[in-house]
Amino acid sequence: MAILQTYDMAVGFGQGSKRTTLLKGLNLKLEQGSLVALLGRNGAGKSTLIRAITCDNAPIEGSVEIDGNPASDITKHQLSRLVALVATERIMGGAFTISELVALGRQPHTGFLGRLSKHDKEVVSQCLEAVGISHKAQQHVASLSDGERQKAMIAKALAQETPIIVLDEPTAFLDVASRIETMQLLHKLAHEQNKAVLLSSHDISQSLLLADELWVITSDHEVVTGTTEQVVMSGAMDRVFGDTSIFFNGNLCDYEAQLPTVATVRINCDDNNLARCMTNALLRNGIAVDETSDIIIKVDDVNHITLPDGKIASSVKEVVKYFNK
Amino acid sequence: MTNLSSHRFTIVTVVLAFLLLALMVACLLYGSVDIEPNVIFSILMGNDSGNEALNTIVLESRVPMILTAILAGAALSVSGLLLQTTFNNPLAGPSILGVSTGAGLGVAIVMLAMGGTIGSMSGDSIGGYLATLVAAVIGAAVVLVILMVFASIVKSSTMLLIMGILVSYLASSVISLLNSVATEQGLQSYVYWGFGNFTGVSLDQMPIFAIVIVLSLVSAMLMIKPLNALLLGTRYAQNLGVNTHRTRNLLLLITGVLTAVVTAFCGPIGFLGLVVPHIARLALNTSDHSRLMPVTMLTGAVTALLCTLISVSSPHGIIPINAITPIIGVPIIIYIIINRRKINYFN
Repeated sequence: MAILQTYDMAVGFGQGSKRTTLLKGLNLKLEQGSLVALLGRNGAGKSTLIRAITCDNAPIEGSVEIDGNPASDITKHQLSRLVALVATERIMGGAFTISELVALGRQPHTGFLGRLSKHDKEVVSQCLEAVGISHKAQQHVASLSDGERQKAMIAKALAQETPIIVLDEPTAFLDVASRIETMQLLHKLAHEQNKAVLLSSHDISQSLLLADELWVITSDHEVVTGTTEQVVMSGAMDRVFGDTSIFFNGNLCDYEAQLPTVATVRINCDDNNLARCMTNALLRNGIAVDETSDIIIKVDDVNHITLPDGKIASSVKEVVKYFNK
Repeated sequence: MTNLSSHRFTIVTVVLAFLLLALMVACLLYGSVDIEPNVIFSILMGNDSGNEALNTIVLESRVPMILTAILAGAALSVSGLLLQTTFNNPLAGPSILGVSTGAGLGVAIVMLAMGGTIGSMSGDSIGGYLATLVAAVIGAAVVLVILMVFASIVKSSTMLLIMGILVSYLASSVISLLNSVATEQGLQSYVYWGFGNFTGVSLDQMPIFAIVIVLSLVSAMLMIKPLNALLLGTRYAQNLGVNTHRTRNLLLLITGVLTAVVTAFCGPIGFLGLVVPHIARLALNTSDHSRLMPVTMLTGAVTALLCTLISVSSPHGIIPINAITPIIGVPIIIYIIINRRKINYFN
């Protein structure tokens, strides 16, 4: 059974006559033990949808049901034990130790004064362990890298011991290595700890690689849901940007620019990596690459390219010059 | 709390407690009138020294002054700590945000507009100083409400500080306008009040002063859990089950009462509220309010006593407290601003 479900939900912003509906007719389901990536262009309504799911903002229409109860019947306190949040906001508590920061995640479970029981402390150290920053437990938050900070915030969310974890662009400020690591961590947590993990992201390739399910917001305000394979095969990825100069490349699992081309060639090359590099280099210079083309260039090295007329070009520049003649 | 940081907390607390005691003794012994230490001690023990003047100086001047400084120091400092966390702004404080000036405006209205006698805090009539007290609370509350509304519209913390300064200017200008229509006696007591001093609370008024401050400080201590959550920002705090709206209102109410009571009795005292929480954070190297709060109180009391000691050390009469607090406060603020990238709690 889905831990979170929306019924004919519409979300948007503003009030009264200034109200703008971004998405409507949403019947979404979040299951435990799966990682769901919410994708869409800027302004499509990712954050607005996230805020409705975390019950920060009430939906314009329809309803949200968490653990079988309508959101309107759930108190703030109960909610803090159902949905844990990781946001992009920078926090002010730089002089908390990591362990103290993660312990804040126990607040929904502690008493009026927030004193930690032995059990609370155990949970905190387990959560530090689970995200792999136990060795930094006593360091201050300010001394962490962005990636470690995000891990600490994920550990905080784990410490809340909620069935649902929602992350609003958790990889936005991270470098590639931390992005991959964070996504893998979330994937692992969803499966090993049976959490329903929902994250919004701009990182298409990592999401397609690691998410079990996708919620894709298309440019015509539809939310296409399903397993990652289903959504990609449905062609929904092509409808994210209502823009013809950008297209989804299924091989690369990412978007590419559609550039004007002067010629279409076939690359004859034994090295796959080299072939891919050359394809990119030619493409950005206005030469498309297609397996069916009759115009063949043979690539032995980036500095040794045999042109269709048998001459040798010593750089991509010379190849481009040849085709622009 | 780890062993290391709990160790640090213990050391800081013990040092502060020792300083507090030493400064209390020093403030008892030193003053414009030289009194033998053994005479002071015997008066404190309840023995009559036989000299009515000495009895009065010790029991009705020095003792209330010490108590006032301790309570006012702790109150303003906690007020600053609460404001800094509530507004997510490390440079917030009751004086810089105009809360003190707001309270001052309330005081001015009672003191100046209603004539000198009714408003004078040293007056005998309980109604008089209660009127001033209530006016101060209302003045502080009005400024806090303005700041809260502004903070919800404009998110920038720099803009909030500027807003506080603007509100201060506005209140000061109204006070100046009131000055121009005030009686001479009213003006005099107002000007004296404006210097800031810890000698304004008489023994009769002490219970009210002490009870209001102690209750507010206890309320602040009860807010430690949501205060820590608020450091993560509103969204995280809400997600941790904190009713942020109610919590903010409660925190501002406590801040308003603490600032207003101190301002009504002691004048608008600058810098303590802004600086002391930073001293506490630097000393403890933590953001955790469960340790920051008690150390902020102690540091506030110690700093206020130090100012008091300096203020009575001149042979030519009492130096206004507001002439001393900037000398202690400004260098610390400059140090913090220059080093903010290296200071943990800023990052």
